[in-house]
Amino acid sequence: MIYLGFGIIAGAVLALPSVALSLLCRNCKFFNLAYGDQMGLTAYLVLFFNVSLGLNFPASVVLSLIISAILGVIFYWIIFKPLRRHGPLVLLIASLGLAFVIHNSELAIWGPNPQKYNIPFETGLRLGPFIMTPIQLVLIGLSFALTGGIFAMLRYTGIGRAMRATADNLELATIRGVDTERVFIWTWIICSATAGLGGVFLALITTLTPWTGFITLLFLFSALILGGVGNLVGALVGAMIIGLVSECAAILSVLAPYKIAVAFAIMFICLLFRPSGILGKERGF
Amino acid sequence: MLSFIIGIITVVTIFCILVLALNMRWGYCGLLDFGVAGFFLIGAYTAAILISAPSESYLFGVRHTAGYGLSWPIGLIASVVTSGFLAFLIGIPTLRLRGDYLAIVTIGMAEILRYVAINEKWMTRGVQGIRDIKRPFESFFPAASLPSDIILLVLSLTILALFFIIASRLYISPFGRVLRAIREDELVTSFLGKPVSHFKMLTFVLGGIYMGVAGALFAMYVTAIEPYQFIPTYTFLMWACLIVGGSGNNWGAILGGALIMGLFVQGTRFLPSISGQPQLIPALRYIAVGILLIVVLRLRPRGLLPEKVIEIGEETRDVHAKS
Repeated sequence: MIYLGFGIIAGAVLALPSVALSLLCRNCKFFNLAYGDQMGLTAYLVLFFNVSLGLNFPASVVLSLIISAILGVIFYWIIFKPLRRHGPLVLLIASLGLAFVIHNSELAIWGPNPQKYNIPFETGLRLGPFIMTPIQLVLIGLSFALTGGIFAMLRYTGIGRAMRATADNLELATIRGVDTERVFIWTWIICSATAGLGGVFLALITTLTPWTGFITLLFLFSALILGGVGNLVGALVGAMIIGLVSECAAILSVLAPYKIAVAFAIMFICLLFRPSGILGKERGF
Repeated sequence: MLSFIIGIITVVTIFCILVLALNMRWGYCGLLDFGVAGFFLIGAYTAAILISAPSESYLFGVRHTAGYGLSWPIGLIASVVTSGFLAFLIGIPTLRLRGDYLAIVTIGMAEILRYVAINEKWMTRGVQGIRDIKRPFESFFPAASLPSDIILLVLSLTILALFFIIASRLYISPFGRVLRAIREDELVTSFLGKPVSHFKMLTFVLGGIYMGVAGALFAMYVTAIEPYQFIPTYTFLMWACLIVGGSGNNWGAILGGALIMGLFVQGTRFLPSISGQPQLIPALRYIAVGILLIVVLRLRPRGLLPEKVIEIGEETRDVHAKS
């Protein structure tokens, strides 16, 4: 039962970034390998404001998210926009390069040791069979609320509609007068900020090392592919399944060090039998 | 000093084999492989386990039982088998799909293999790593001596030359032509009646074999391997070598390997390290390589030694402009 509780937390924390990553993949038509390290970088920025500068926690989170969003747009302008004409595979290689630049910057500035935020220690609350700390409850709530926010944004706002149109057919959207450049910039802003928040959540429930982002990226991609790439509901469902199963697998002590392997095994089976994902369309993204 | 220089040349040669393998996968066939470190690991560990003698030591209460003390050619051949088989297994679900999926699966596979190497202590001795891996002809020349280093250098260079010739012959053969056709347009190639998945699988397995042999050579060179030597950073470095050197061109692959692994990575070892910050210099070095990779992709996407493009009609097609 404890594992189930861990699984719910892990699933909830993975849900938000995986939905945002799915949105990014769908709009920009490539897998962004730097996403995990963007998460890690923002978590480190929070660490910088919170621990090094001594700001209080919410203020440092807000500041870091703004920086994360700005960085996302900068990455888009200087790397991904000029390379778009070379196709998705070259973008993937460029994002790998970016991921390593960010990862090694973290390593150079903050060193390889695990870091912790300066927040008060909390005791667990007993909720039925689960034990969770108040902060974990807040995380679960916030994660689902913001995921709902992304869905609402896509459905009810002008930029959300433009995003869906662009993702569906870039040329058609351009011809119909959608400002696709604006769509791309907003996609990067929203997804980078969400990535940052996901990174902070992750740093709160685990420890923060320069490898956190990369490891999380693997979970995110297995969630994404399991749910069907480009399908946001699928990404949400996939994240919950991956979170639950990979944490519950720890019941078998043999599998305890292999959470990623469990997540990847699920993805592998999914690719063998239903490559488009459990909720994906045949067409892919 | 001489043995130090020989050591650097040997390491660079081994990494050049990896870049050559990556060139075969990405440069010839357009297979996006981010699992170089994983194939490298499986080759190195297979050879290490077979060549090293069984040790009686207990680590964290787990007895290390593997280690067979076989001779080095058997280790080399076994790593060909395991890395080739691994490539085959990974290829089954992914090669039918879009290239991106292969990238994701291989990047995760490499990381999972590293976890296996860390956790299965009975086989790999965990983070302690396997030590005392025998070099070729160790009974004649002790491991740390100059002749032993030279033998390994000659062995590595021979294998590199052999693989280079095979890869170059492959490039101009009808087989290589089909691979390049797949890279340019998979759909058209399959319409021409070529079994695309079959060709991709062969290339993927061949690339895996190259990487496995490189791993076995690496294990023999360093004589002690540990999981930390197979972090994803090496995958990224190999990609930087290939892109900077020029993908699709074997000479470019070798040039990139020599430039980045030789000058950038090994050459900067002579820089004085900053006290108290052992991570700083390597991290800055990789930041520089990452920026170089992105700059080359933007300004000279076909690398320093670009692949020769056969001109068709008036327009020269960009080799990697896909979909």
